[in-house]
Amino acid sequence: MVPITRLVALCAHICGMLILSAQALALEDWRNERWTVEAFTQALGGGPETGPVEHSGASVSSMCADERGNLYVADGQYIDIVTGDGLRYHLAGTGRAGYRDGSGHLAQFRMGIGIAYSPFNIACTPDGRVFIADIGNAAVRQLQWNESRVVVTTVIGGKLANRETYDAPTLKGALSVAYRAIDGHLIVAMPAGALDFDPKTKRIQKLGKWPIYDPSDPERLWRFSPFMGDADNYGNSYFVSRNPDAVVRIGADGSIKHIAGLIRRGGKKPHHIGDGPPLEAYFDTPNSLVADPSGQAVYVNGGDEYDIRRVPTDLKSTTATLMSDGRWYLSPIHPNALRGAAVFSSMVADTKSTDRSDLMVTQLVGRDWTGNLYGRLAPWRGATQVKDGVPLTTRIFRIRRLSEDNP
Amino acid sequence: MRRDLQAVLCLSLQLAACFVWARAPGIQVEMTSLIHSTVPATEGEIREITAASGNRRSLLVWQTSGHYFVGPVSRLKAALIAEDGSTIKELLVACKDEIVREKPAVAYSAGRFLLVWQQISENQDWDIFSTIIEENGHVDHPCGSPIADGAPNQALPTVAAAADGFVVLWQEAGSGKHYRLRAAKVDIKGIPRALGDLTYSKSIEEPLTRYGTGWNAPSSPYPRSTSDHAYVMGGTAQIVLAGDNTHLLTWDDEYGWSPGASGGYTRRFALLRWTRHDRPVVTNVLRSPAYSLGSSPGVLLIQDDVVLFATGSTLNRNDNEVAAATLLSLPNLRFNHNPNSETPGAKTWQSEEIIPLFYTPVNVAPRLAAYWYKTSWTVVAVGSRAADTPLNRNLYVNSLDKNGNLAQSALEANILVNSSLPLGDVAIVKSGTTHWLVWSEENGAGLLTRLQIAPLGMD
Repeated sequence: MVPITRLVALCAHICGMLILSAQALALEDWRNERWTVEAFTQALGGGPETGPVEHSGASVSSMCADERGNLYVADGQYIDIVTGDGLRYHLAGTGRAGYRDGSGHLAQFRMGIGIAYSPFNIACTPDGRVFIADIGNAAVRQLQWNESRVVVTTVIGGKLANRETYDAPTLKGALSVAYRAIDGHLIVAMPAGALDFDPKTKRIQKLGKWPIYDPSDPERLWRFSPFMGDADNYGNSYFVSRNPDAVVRIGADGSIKHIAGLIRRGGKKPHHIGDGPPLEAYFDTPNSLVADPSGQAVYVNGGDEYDIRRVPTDLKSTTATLMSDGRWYLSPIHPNALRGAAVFSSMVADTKSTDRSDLMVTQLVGRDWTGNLYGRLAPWRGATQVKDGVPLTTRIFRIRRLSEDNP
Repeated sequence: MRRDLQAVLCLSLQLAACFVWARAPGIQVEMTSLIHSTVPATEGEIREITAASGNRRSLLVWQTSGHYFVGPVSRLKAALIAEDGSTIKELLVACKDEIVREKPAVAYSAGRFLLVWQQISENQDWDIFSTIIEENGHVDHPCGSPIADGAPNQALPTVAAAADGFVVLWQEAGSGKHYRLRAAKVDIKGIPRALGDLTYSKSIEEPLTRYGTGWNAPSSPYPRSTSDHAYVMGGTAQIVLAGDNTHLLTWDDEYGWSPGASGGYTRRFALLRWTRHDRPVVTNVLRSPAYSLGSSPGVLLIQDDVVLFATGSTLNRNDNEVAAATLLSLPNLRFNHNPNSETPGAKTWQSEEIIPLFYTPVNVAPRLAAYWYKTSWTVVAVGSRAADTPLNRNLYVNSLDKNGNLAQSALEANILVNSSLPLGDVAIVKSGTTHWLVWSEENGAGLLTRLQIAPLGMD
């Protein structure tokens, strides 16, 4: 007997999916998409940590969103909320690294501590719970609302790992999370493999190892370094690995599939490869990934991947690169190769040059509920990301998809 | 009853005391006592310790909690410290519980303390408020008098004594583009008398080319026009009285900002003067070398026309941040005819440009305090004793004379306090003839809720 509340929730979910499907159909032809860039947070010149978000001096390391229009932002050992009216507050954390569960204002984390390049991310549920990949504490933490309080608990690893009754795999190395709204499960990625965690029953299921094969021995599984994950609205979770440079999808049924990224072992970076079939495209040490809620694509960026690359999830069509007019183009060679060396130093650059100040994206930090992207800027020379539109006053920006309703 | 409780707390603390000893010349830390211990669940942790030394008493101010969406409201608390280091009175600077108050700063002038802070009310934006606190502990305006409460976001205030009261400095989100510094004169009664953007004097205005490259957008957010660029951009500013109608400023400038790239900040020093019409003007701007002085607030002191600025420093771009200092010659800065030089001239810098104060196995957090003692500055910094100690448990001490000579090498800086508990912030105050070291410490349950005080030395 299915409870009536469950049926109502299921109907609501299906209706939501139908609406999203309609939106997805309207945007089916990604070649017609147009994106623009807007200021978000980390104001130029400094500013206080909290208050009006565009005037906040604090940055963003990772972010996610709930369906009510709130954004949740991790930075500096704080989890902040950015409300729909544009105010940024602390939700949890003391600003100091540590490990403490409990009330939000006393909780402590070690986010991004202890692993090279500090991979970690957070994942939101539609109702505003936040899961945190707390790498420094080898734990997954959960921030939840308890009436008028915010409470942080450990849900996997960390201090739970010391309990005799705890039989979940040890969390070790890079850690990323993605929330699967369709069934309320959390997918956890670590180098040893993926886990499926049900927050209601506390049950943890091993999903398996990563299907990344050693290029020199196609029969042998190779490594995977999950740097960031996200999920679409159809139960698919996606994770990006830096070295090997790959994107993996975990389907709603728990199956794991390598969907993008040429796997190579050593040698010169194949910058002669441009956009094309996802499994043949080369991504240059990416460290960030955002999923389109429609399930049609994921966006890959970060590391030495200085452009936002659109990766289709159908395994058939081509990858594409977001260019300076806010449209997708097919790059004939890797976008880095269009502009010279892939390592930029503002100290050694020719300061008389003016084109070096074109905007580039160095990292995607997350998305909002409707699928707009958020990222970090860096200067570059040559072909660029979006640079037109309203000048930015912040270092963290929003790339918004234009639509007829929201031009 | 309150005194009795304090005495018991003091005694118990001494028995359970942290290991405290002194090796640096002229430094004595013999005993510690507890100033304050809060109930964490209701108030949160101690943050942002600041202090000002009065005639015979000093005022210590701190903030509890922060600007949380759900959690205790951030409050300002203060304690008057007597000559013997005891707490004369503990104050709560508040009138309505729901108002969030943060980032306190305090200065002393002509028998009064001026406390300034940022507050957010009705969930709009930050504004700057202040109150006079008398030496007897009376708070003139518990609700605060507005210094700057206009529509733009105004935050991160700092304050210094002036000949006729005080000067308050803060950041303001200017023209929707970037933060700029603004200043106000405040009289001895705490009433703002003059207010203005800090603008460069035209005679020594820096060339526009020094202000980075902008970008190719039609209307760059980066200052291009003369009028825009003339404002002093940037944050983490500090200010100190440097003579009649003159203050010395230091701030973290966005001079070479390029989106997202490191190296966009530089530490600047300049003089702030007020015109006959009470308009603030910044002159004699000096820029420190890139990658030299950190963006965190530090210590800014002047003794016999020599300026000490101590803060976190990367020394060069590949280093981790350590505690370091620089010394400026104030007369040479005043008469420097080429203040915009890319690298500091020998006539302006008192000694070698950047002097590392402490090398420790773990980075020294840029939480520093300093005071002048006999012939040199004594600088104290929070640090860790070993690379595997992630939390700060030591207070390191070193001395620096006006020629830049250190009492101990940066590698051999002494440990002044070795605590069994992680430490937070540090400050130094002078009550009567005695300097007192104040620091925050965890309570044994992982919460930064205790304030300790110990005598440092007597004049």
